[in-house]
Amino acid sequence: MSIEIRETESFTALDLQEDLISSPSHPEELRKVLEGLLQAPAGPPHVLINFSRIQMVNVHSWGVIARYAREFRHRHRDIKLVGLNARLQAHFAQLLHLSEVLETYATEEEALANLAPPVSRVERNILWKKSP
Amino acid sequence: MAKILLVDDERSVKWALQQILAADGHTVETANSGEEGLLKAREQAFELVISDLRMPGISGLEMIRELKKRQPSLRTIICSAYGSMESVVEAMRLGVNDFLVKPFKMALMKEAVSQILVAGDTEMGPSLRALELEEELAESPARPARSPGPAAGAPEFLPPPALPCACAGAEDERGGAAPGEGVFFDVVEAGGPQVILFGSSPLLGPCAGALSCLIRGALRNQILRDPRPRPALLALNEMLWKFCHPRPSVSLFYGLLSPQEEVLRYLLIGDRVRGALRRPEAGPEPLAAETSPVLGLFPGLMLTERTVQVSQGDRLVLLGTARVEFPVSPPGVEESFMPQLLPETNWLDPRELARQVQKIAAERTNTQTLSELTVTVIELSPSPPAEAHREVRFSSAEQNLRTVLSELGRLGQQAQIPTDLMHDLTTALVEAVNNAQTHAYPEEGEITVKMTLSNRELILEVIDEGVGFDLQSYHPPDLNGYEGLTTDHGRSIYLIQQLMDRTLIETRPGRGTIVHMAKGLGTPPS
Repeated sequence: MSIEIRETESFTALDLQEDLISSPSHPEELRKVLEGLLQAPAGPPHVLINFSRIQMVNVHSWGVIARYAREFRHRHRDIKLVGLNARLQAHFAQLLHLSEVLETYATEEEALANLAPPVSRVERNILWKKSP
Repeated sequence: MAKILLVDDERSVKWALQQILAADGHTVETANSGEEGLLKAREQAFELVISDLRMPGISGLEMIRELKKRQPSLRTIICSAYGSMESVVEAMRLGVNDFLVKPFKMALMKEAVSQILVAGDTEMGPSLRALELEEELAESPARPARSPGPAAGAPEFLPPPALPCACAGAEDERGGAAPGEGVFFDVVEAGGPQVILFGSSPLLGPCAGALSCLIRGALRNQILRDPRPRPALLALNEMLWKFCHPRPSVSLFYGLLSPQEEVLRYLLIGDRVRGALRRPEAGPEPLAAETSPVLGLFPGLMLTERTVQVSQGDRLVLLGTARVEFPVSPPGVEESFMPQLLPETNWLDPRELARQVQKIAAERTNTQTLSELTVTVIELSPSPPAEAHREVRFSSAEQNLRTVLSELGRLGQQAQIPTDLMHDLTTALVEAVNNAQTHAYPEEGEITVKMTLSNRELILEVIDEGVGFDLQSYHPPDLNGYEGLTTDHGRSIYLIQQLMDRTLIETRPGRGTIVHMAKGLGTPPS
């Protein structure tokens, strides 16, 4: 497994263990995990993806993250990225322009301080039904 | 930035050119044939047209002839793999600004485009028509002062793609050190060996541009057939004699550098160009000049190739001036001039060398400063053979991707590639392999990955024999927001282009795809 999953009250942390490049199946694995969290009937609302152990991410994986960031936002939930090294940050921000739609933080604490206020699951479902 | 029309029936070439020109900020329209090019040029105005020579339907030259009737100031570049001397001459007669022989390096095309566009609006491109009309200038032995403006010598100096070199004129009255007008320089790769051209003629302005363009274009064609100095210069001489009126009297150095043999074969003709070899820890060695006075005056010449051994660290110094009264031309002066000059000069700096030549020439010949002198210093570093080559062939399977990556890792260790750079290379390679696995084969198919390390450059090639794709349907992803990233369309190609220095994709529907990628590795850590 290239992703370890931790849960706290307000967020689920995905600790990426292996470069999202060394296997063609990695983007699909990431997609399944994010889809599971999106559809889960219970659990913390937000997701932090922790990049601190990895050096390389392929464009397919970036695409999966971008797509699920949009899906989560539609449901008033959030995905934030943590611990990108300078080179990945450059790919993320300068090459792929993802900084316009996703926020990155150096540490989990910084990311936590910027998470949207928690919304109850019932409220969240109502908001989701209202969103376009 | 300019509006450019690109006409070529080869889609991969057209696509690659479109990418690099658009990356430079130009607006690029494309056409698949001469007829389509004419239609597009009717609908909108272009500043530059780049066209293939041979295409189905009307040729590139026929199209340019039509376009020039409507817009005489239109700037044009012809590129072809099949050009003959006659087609080069015809192109120059039409006022084509440059003639590039395929395959050419993208950097060469970029530089040609930028130089042609930089030339002022008054410069209508070098034209043999102009050359034919400039009888007065060609007959006049004295050379008037340099004409002002950047356009004067603009098309004559293309960046040499293969050898480290520097070229400069002596400081002129305006404090600049541009190469002198009428002098031209080119380095052409000839499938391993490299050809060095350095020449001079007494022509000025558009005539000088036309002549240098004609000579470079003709020799680039000739080099494809036979790059040896004697056949190349005999063919050039015949062409100049046949097509150029008045006779242009060209002085020329032509050197064929063979990296494997460490040999320079050369011919040096005419009294406006001189050359010498400077070897480390040794005195200067003037290059022998032919007794034949100049090229282009008579249909036949007796030419004898010279051969000299070269090795790493040797430098070739070429001096050229369009002035007829080049002070080193009288034989007595020349013999003593070069040795006197060469030991005392800073050989790394052509501008300094040009100053020294001026000084010595002024002392010896009591002539005024040679403000038109151009000096080129070329490092004769014969390209070593590829330092490493790896080839991995596999069918799509996860395990094989790991094999590819471990081969790349070994190459990275051998070449001491820094970690960050290694990550970029790995990312680009994996994108290309994933593309091949995902899109090339409906089922399973074979993929070949080639890795070549040479001259601190890593070339990666991912080859499949799958379904290929239509490059015309490729558009870079829309990166405004993340819509473009959430679809499959074009993301990998985009990222590869961003990570590598050069990328070229050859593909045709049903005939597979090759993704060529190159990245400079910089100097290895000490």
